[in-house]
Amino acid sequence: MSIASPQRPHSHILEATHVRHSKSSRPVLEFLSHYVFSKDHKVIGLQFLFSTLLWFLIGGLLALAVRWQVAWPWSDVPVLGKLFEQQGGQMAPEFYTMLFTMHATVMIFLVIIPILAGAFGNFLIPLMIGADDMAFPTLNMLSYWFMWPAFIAFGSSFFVEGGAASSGWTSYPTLSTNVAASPGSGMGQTLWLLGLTFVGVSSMLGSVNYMTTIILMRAPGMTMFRLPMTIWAMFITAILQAFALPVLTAAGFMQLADRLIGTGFFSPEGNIVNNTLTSTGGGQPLLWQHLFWFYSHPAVYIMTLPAMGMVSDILTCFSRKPLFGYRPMVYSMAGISGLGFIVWGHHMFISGMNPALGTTFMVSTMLIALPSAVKTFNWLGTMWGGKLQFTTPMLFAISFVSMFIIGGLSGIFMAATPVDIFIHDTYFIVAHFHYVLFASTAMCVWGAIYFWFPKMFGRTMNEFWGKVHFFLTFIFLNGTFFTMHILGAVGFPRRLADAYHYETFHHLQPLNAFMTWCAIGMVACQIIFAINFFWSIFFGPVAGRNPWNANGLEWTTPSPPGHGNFDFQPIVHRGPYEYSVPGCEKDFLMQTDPPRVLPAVTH
Amino acid sequence: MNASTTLTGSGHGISSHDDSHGDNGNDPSGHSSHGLVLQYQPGLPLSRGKLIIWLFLSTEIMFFAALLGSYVVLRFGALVWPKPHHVHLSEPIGAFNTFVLICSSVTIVLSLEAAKGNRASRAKLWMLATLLLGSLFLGVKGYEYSAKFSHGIYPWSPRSRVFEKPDLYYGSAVRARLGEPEIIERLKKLDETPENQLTTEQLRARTSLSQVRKIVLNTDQQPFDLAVVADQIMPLATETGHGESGLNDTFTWLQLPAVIPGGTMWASTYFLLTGFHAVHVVVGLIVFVILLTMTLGPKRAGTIEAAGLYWHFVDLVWIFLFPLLYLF
Repeated sequence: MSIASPQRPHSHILEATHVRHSKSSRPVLEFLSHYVFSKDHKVIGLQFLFSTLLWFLIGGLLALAVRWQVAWPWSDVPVLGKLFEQQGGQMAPEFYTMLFTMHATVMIFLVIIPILAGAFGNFLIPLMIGADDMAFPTLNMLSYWFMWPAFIAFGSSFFVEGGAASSGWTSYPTLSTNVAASPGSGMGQTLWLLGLTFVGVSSMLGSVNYMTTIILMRAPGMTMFRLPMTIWAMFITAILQAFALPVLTAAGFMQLADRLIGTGFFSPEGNIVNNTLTSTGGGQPLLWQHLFWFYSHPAVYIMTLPAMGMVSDILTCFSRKPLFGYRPMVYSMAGISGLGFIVWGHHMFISGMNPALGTTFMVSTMLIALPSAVKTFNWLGTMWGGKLQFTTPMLFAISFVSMFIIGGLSGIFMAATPVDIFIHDTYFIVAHFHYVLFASTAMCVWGAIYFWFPKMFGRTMNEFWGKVHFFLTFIFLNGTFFTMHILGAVGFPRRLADAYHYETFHHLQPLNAFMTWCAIGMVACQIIFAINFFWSIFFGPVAGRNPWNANGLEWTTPSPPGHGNFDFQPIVHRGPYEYSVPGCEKDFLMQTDPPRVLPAVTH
Repeated sequence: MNASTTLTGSGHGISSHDDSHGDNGNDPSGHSSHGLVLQYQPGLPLSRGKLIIWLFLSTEIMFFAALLGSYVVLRFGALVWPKPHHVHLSEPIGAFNTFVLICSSVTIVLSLEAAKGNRASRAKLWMLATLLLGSLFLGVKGYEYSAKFSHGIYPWSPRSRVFEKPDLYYGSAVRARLGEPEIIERLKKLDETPENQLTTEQLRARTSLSQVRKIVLNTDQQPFDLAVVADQIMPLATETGHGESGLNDTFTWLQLPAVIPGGTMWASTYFLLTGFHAVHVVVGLIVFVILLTMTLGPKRAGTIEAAGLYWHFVDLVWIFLFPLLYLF
């Protein structure tokens, strides 16, 4: 076996894939096949990354519009105000409903899920297990291209009559099944359901491919218990997606049939919405809630587990210590996903449920705190006594752990049925899931971008501006989201266009104004990130193969790796976290380092 | 592609490379720009194609589990649920279709066996048989659908002539149908027909039809009268057997609205379940047509096996649907 000489790191993304055919008689076709309809997992990963970052911006702007209305209701909206001239620059209540619906939809289905599984999953899985690509490259390409009909459906729904969907991202009937219920229940809702179906197809194609790749294409010596935590997380996430998502797809088809054909799966008999009698009748609105949350609760873990995996890799690297409790970390992740399938009812405590069933769901929900706590303590144990290096990715990873503790603890409040009945429709819930999804997962995504940027583009991002970005985001996000706990504890309702309609809440307006300023600051400081990101792609300092002295297989490849990833046959001799091994001259042992440096530690 | 490089010093059981490359769906182009073929340590003794088909089928199981679960919830949550005969389901036809589908599962296995044994033409013959049996299933399903449609059972509401109970909405729907010009003309023709040109059944039906018209056109209807109307138009099956033929059966052109308690939701779930199953059958048939264009030798055995696994799954779903819809 010939081991090719290491390649010089490439200067930018356009060299990420080698052009195999030297004759360039059809440059346009070649460009299309290599950078647009590419089957290379790295290019597909980057396509996911750029698309989702763009939607991240759109989702963020929608959130700002929501915040504007909550802080200063019925005041003229800046910039966007021109769109509502017929209303004198104000937004209508239905428009506000549409804003938070689409904010959640965009952030969940077009940002968090595809950026974790699509972008990082695609980019990292083959590199970290020592494969040349995914098991089915064409299928992988399709999983990205199935996102585009979804992008188009969700995007165009803003411009159809009645506007985009406005029955919440949960799309509860009867608001969603009755076309006359609200302006957004018309064409907007239909497009929403179509978009959801395409996202589902994309996720399904991706997840079966990831599982096949991880099971069959690990490098020699890469046993399951030598896999980096990121891969374990992606593997378990893929299982969750494969088994939970089809249920939502089926439910989506049923809702679509209710709306377009006139079946009555989800509309109750004699239901009157907006003075219209829907007499198709006999259906069960609660059935939708069960089907929806059967997917959407596991989806919470789809949105968290990959982040947990990536954080484990970043924390160990910059603590220069092995991961504390590798196997417990794997088992707790499996435990979280297993329990995640039997807790969906805790979203429905106030929907009307047999109290015995409610108690069951309460207990199973509380059980999830155990594996979650195992993970948290193991992260702390990993950092304890380590030689911490406070690089930008490390700062984001530490903030993930701390923010996850806050979001996790507030989750235990909601798990208790009696407490949930009080706080369910308040800002306390909003605070909780923003701590889990934004303060934890999104912070991890930034950390992961800083961490794997050298592998993606062959250059490193600026550390100073990275830290400025981190500290500003961290301060502003806590200013925005921590305050929501206080609002929720006094009962400030969510999903109301103007809660100040009730005199009780008048005194909360200054607090809301403060949060909105923080939110504006949070979005504004992403400009620093954007400039750093794009500047570094072209002008950042050139990175070698292993800029962080990390252990994983991906750091043995050129930065960025060529088509086929590896320029040698990787053979794995050890687990992924052998940092600071006593008696070793360097403080890290890469997974490919031959055992003569030190006897291989078998797990 | 299948370079069998011996790895030195790895000491880990590396299965032969041929195993990790399935026959179906693989990108044949080498991924490595260095001419390097990477070695892997597969976790399962399966080809990629076979594993991904199994994983895909497991997602499909969840899809149909959601549909069947919804059916169970809706059925047991409903106040009334029609008996199979109320909605004109025929067990023998359903059983025949089940038999057809099971036979098609056998033929595709025979096709695989023939392909493995390098008897390509025989494999193609069995594949053709599978295709024909699948098409027969679809044809019978289509016949059953058209029987539902002819009884006014549609899954969508404006076309559906099924009412939950004989209330005033029902009465006005019958009146509206009887008031349609085409029906008025035919009724007139029926009234003018001399008695000796009609069978006894038609005679009896003509009498009850005039009774129905009298009740429906009367502005002062009683709920009991409308129940009589509903019974004349389409009598529901009793415990002992099929209902007698009603007006809709004797004069098929009448197509009057009928009362089937729970019939709307039944129609929704029936067409949902059998419809999605039929979509899967169609996908299978397309795969068979594509396979028929190829030479079905040992090289294609993996593809045939994958298609077969899918077809068995489609078969299995029907094994669940048949008793749930026809027998219980």
